[in-house]
Amino acid sequence: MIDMDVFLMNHRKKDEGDDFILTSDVHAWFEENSVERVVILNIEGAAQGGLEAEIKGVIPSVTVEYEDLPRIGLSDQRTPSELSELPWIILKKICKRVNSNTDSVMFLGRGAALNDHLLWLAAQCFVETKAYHINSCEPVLDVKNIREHAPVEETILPALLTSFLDDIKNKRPDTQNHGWIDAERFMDLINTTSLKGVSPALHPMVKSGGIEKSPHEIKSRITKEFYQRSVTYRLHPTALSDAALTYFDQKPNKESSLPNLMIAFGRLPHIQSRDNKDKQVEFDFFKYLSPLQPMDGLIVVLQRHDDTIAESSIMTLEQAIITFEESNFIGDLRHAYNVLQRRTIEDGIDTLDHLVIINPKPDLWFQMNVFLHLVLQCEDFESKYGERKWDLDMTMPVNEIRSAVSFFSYISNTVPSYVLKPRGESNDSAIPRRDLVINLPNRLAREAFDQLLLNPHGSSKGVPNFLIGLYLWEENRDSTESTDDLLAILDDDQGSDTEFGMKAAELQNYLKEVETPIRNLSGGTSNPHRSLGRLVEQRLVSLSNSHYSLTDLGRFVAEQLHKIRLLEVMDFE
Amino acid sequence: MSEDVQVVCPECEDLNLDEFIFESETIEQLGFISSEEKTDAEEWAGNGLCLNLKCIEQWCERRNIDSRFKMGVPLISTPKHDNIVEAKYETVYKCEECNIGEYTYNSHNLNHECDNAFCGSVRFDLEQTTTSGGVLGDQGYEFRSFYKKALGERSEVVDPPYLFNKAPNPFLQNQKVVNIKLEKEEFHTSQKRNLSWFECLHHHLKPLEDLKGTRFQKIVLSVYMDKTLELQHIEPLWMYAQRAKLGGELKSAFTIFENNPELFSELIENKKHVLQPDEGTIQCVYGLIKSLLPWPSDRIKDETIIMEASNVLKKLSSKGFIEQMNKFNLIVPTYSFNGQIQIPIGLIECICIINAVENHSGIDKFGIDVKNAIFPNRSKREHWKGIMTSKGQQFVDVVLPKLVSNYLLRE
Repeated sequence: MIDMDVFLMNHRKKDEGDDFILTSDVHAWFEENSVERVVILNIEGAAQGGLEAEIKGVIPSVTVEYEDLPRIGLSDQRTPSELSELPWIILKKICKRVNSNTDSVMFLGRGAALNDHLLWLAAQCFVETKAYHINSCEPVLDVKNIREHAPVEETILPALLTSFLDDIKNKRPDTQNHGWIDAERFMDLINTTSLKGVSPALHPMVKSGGIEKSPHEIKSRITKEFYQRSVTYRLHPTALSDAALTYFDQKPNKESSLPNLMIAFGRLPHIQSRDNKDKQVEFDFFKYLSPLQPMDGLIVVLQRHDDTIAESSIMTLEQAIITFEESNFIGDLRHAYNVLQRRTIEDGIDTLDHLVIINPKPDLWFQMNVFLHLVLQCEDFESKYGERKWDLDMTMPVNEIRSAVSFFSYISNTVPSYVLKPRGESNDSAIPRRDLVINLPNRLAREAFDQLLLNPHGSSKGVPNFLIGLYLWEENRDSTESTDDLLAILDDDQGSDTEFGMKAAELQNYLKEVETPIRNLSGGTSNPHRSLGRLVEQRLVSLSNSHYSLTDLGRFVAEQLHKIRLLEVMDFE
Repeated sequence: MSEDVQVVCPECEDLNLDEFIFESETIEQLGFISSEEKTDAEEWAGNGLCLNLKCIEQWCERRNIDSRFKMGVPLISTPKHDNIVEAKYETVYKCEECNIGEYTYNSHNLNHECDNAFCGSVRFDLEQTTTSGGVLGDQGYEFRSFYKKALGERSEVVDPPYLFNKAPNPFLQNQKVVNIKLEKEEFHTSQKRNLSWFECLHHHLKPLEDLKGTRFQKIVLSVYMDKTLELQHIEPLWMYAQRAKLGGELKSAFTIFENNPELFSELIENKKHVLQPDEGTIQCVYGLIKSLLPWPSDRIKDETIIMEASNVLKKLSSKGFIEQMNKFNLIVPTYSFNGQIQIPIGLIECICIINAVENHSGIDKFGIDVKNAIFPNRSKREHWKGIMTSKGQQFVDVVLPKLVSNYLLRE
C-alpha cells in the first residue's frame, strides 16, 4: 500500500438529508488507498462545511491542509487582466501543493466547471498524479501517453481511433462492438496491403492494457468446424491519448484567419417535463451564449439526467427526437431543436446537427464516447462547411463529462473559454458582455510545466519556448529601442522595410542566445515552422510577411508561461 | 380571453379548425410553451396550435426553417372582424369654432369632427388621411414619422447625447410628453438646447432627404456630425459604431457625405476648432471609455486620471507630436470629413487617457486593458480597422504601446 495525497474542492452535503458530505464509496476508497494527506481547495470567503472533520473521522491519522483559491467573479471590481490571470493563479496554487514524488489523486466533480478543468490540468502536469471522478472513484481521461511510440505505431494508433469514428458515423447498431478492428479493416484504414510488423508493434500496447485483443475462431461453412483463428483489436480508453494525440498531430495546422466553430454545452429545457422543483425551465441557452458571439458555426451539446431512462447515451439531436419519441421529454427535445434552428438561422450561424447526452456518467468508456462524438461532429461539420477554427466553451458541461471536455480541448488544441455569470448588480450590468468571457490555461500551460519539471513523459515539442522567446524579444525590444522618432515607422521610405516581429529562423537562434535564468529554452525547437504554426492556429501569434509577433492573447499567455518557468521554478526545486 | 378577440392560425385562419388543439399537455409534448405568460412568439403557443401539415410547411417555409420536427403552428389572437375598434387619427387641425378641440378624422362619415364633446363642429374640406397606416397628409409630420420609423428602437444610435423619444403612436391622443433629465457627464457641451434627437437633427436631415442612401444612414451621419461639431460630444468613430451596433451602415452613411462634399461644409468651417483636444474633450472620451470594460471604480479617481491625461496632452503638444501626426493620413478618406481631418477624432484623447491609466492608476496592466477595449483585436472585422488606414493600424499596433509605456516618461 502506497501513501497517497488527495486534492479536492471544499463542498457541502448534496442534500440536507444526507448523513455525510462524501459518499460511502469515497470513504472506502480513502481507507483502501492509505490516504496520508488531503488538500482541501477552498474558495476564498466560503464557509467551511465540515469536510475536514468527516475525512478525519474516516482516517484519523490524515493530515488535512487548506489552500485558498480566489473567487472568480465580477463582484470584486477586477480589471480584465486581473480576471484573466485568476485561472493561471489557481493552477499555480494547486501545482505548488503537489508533491511531485508522491502519488496524488485529484478528485473532480465538485465545484465550478472552471475549477474542475484546472484540477484536471494540474493532474496532467505531474507524472505521479491522476485525476479521478468523485462519483465513481475511478480515473478519468488522461493525456499522459502509456509509452513512447515507435514510428509504426503512429500509423496504427490513429487507425484504431478511426475505426470507432467510422462505426459511430455509420450508426453501427451493435454499439458494444464499436471500434473492433480486424486485419482487413486495418489494411483498409492504414491504406496498406501488408500487416507485417503490426502485431509486434501492438504487443507492448496490448501488454500495458491500452489495446484490447480478442481472438476469434471462424467456423467453416462446409465442414462446420472451426478452422482458422482470427484476432481483432480495439483501443482502450486508457490509451486514448496515445491514439488521439497522434491522430490530431497528423492533421495540418490551421490558419488563424479561418471562421470559427463554437462548441458549447447546455441543459435540455423542461417544457413538457418538469424539473425537480416541478417547474418548467425555459431554454435560455442563447442568453448564456451571447457573450461568445459573434460566431460562424455552432455545435451544441444538450445534457439531461432523466430517471425514466435506464441507460446512458450520446446521439445527435435529430436521432434523439426519433429515439425518444415515446419519452416524457420529447417536447423538450423538439423545443430545443426548433429554438436552435430558428436562432441560428436568424443570427446567420452555420449548423449541421447538435448532440444530446442523456444520463452522463463518469466512467472511462462513456467519456471516450463523448470525446469521439465531439470529434466526429466537428469533422462532419468541416466536411460540409470547410475547415474551421474550433473554439470550446467550458462553462456548462455537467460534472460527469467535464474531464472528457477538458481532454477534448487539450487534444484538439483549443483555447477553452469560460463565461462569468453577471451577478445582476447594478454595477455589473454596465460590463460589456464580451468581457464576461475569460480564456483558460490548457495545453501550453501543461507543456510549460513539462519543461519546468523535466517530465519524462512530456509530449512537449518546445511550443511554449517559442512563445516565451517572442515575449522576451518583444520586451527587450521595447525597453532598449530608441524612442526619439516614434513616428519614423509610418514614413513611406521606411515603413515597408519595418516589419514587426521575427522570422522563424531568427527566433530559433534567439532562443539559443538569449540570456535568461530559464533553463533549456532552446529545447524542442528544431521544427520552428510547425511549432509556430500551432501558435498561429491558436491565435497566440500572428504571421505577416514571414514575421511572427505576439497577439494580445499571446502576450498574456506568454507572460503566464514565463512566470511558470521563471518565478515558480524556485518553489519546485 | 376577451370576447373581442378570436384565435386563428396565421396560415389558414380557421379553415382547419378541426385540427386546432388547446390542451396544454399536448402543446408541451409537441415542443411549444403553453404557459400563460407570453414568451418567444415563435415557440409560445398559449393560444393553441394548428396541426395541419400544409400550414406547418408554409409557416416554416416563410421562416426558411426545416419543418421536419415542427409539430404545429402557434395560433394567434386577432380582433374579431365585426367588432374592430375604429382608429382615430391625431391631426394638426385646431378647431376654430370652440378654439379648444382638434379635428379628428372619422372614417365612417368621411369627415373631420372636433374632439371637444361640447362643440360638435364638422369639416369636410380638410385633407384626409390617404392610407390605412395612419399617415397624415402633412409633410412635416410625414417627414418626422419616416425618420422616427427609420430609427426604430435603436436608441443607442442617438443616445447619448440626444434624447431618444419614440415615434408618437398616431392612434393615441393627448399623449403626455415625459422629459428625461440628461446626466451632466453624458455630453460635453455648454449649449442649452432641446436635445430631442429629431429636433436637433432635423435641419441636417432635410437637405439629405433627396440624396441616395437610407434614412437610417442619414440619421447616423447627421448624429455624428452634429454631436461632434455642435455639441462637442467627442467620441472616436469606431467607438460610436461599436456602441450604436452599426454594421455596414457606418460606411454607407459616410459615403453619402463623401459623394456630396458640400454637405456640412459650413458647419465644419465654423466649428472645426472644437475638434482641438482639451481637458473637456478628454473628459468626454473618458466617460465613454469607462463603459467599454469592467472599471475598478473603487481604485481609480476619475479626476486624477483626467488631470494626468491633460498633462500628457500638454507634453504631446510641447514635443510637437500632434503636429507630426498630422503629416500622416491615419484615417480612411471616407471618414476624413472630405480630407479635412487626418487624425481620427478622439484618438489623441485616447492616447492621453491610456497613458494616464497605465502610469497613474496604480493597477498593473490596466492601460493595456483600456487599449484593448478601445482597439479590440478579436477579428479582422473590428470597426477601428475599417476606419483607420494601414498606417493608422500600424500606429495603434506599434507606436501606441511605446507612446503609452515609455516615450513620455523619458524627459
